[in-house]
Amino acid sequence: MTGDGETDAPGPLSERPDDADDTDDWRVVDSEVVWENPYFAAGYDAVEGPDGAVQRWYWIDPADVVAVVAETDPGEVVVVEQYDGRLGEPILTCPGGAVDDGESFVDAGVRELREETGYRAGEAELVSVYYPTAWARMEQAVVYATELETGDPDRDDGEHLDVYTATPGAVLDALDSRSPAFGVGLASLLAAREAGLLSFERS
Amino acid sequence: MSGDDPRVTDDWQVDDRVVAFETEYFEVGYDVVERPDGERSRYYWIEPADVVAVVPVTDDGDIVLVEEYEPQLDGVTLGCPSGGIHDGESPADAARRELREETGYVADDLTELLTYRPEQWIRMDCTVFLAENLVEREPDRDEGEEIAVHTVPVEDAVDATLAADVVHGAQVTPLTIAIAEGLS
Repeated sequence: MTGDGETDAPGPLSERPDDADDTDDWRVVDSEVVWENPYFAAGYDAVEGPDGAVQRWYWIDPADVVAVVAETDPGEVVVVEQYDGRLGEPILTCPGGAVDDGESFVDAGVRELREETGYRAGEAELVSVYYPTAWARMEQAVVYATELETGDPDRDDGEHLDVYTATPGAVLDALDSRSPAFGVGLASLLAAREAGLLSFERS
Repeated sequence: MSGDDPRVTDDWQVDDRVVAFETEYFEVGYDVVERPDGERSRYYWIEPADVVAVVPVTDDGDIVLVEEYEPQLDGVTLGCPSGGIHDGESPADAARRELREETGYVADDLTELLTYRPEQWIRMDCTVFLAENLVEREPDRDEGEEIAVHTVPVEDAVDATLAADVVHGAQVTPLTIAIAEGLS
């Protein structure tokens, strides 16, 4: 990072050396938890920036999560709708959930797909991993699952959701029609599309 | 799939909203909710300001991306210009301001594409704008803010953002949204 204005990158920033380390000038001098609940801690890092000033940067640290783009044989994807108590509204999104300790993203995706929808995935692969926002130190993985066989779901008590399948284009239109759209479903479908795993026509 | 589908909200009742702690950037707390099975549960959240993300397209059809160190994630991000909406500011005004501050570009045309909620713990929406007919001016950065501005062909932009040290969804998903909306 030069910070001295515009650079015209040839292709995807190919001038950037693999071992570039832009973090040298930033130093974490303190890290404090200010509040905790069973699911995450909220706190801040006190960070000394390149100009020597120390600032507090707040965060929460929930468990990493996975979302599954599950494609059935006839070229449809599986989506779930459920009330989300945290957001206080119903969300339409891909199946998914929190990654257990020691579990891989792919294993967690296959487990959540089975528990929430009953679908057993014969094949599953990792598509991408990202941080949805800068506030949460939580990775979001996208897993693409195929070779689906139906079975019984295994939901927690009180877990209440509806399962649908539709073409990717119809799902994307349905996600877009909600205001606000729920980003995890949207980002997951678009990540699978960018990776060349899912193609769809918009209506 | 349509809006006529049976909704799953009817039997959920929010009994209380408790703010447990306040930072200068967000409230953290929980709702006490009575579920359809009659059980009461706490659902935890944080509530920061809503944000905007801008997909700026130059007259040559390239995408303008910003690269900077992100202290909250302790790594370098690369993606669309983005930032929080100030009190009393419209999302469109915030988009123009963030674009100018971070890149120096001023957009003659700004099109709102979509508003989405990036994830479940955070009661925060991100509104995505396409910015076109860009005019280059001096960036207007905060002191200590170091940002490298890159222009990248559309077809390389997503790969570039995914190759960053830290992949920040709020700066990448808007780009894939714009591409899905027909940007090419």
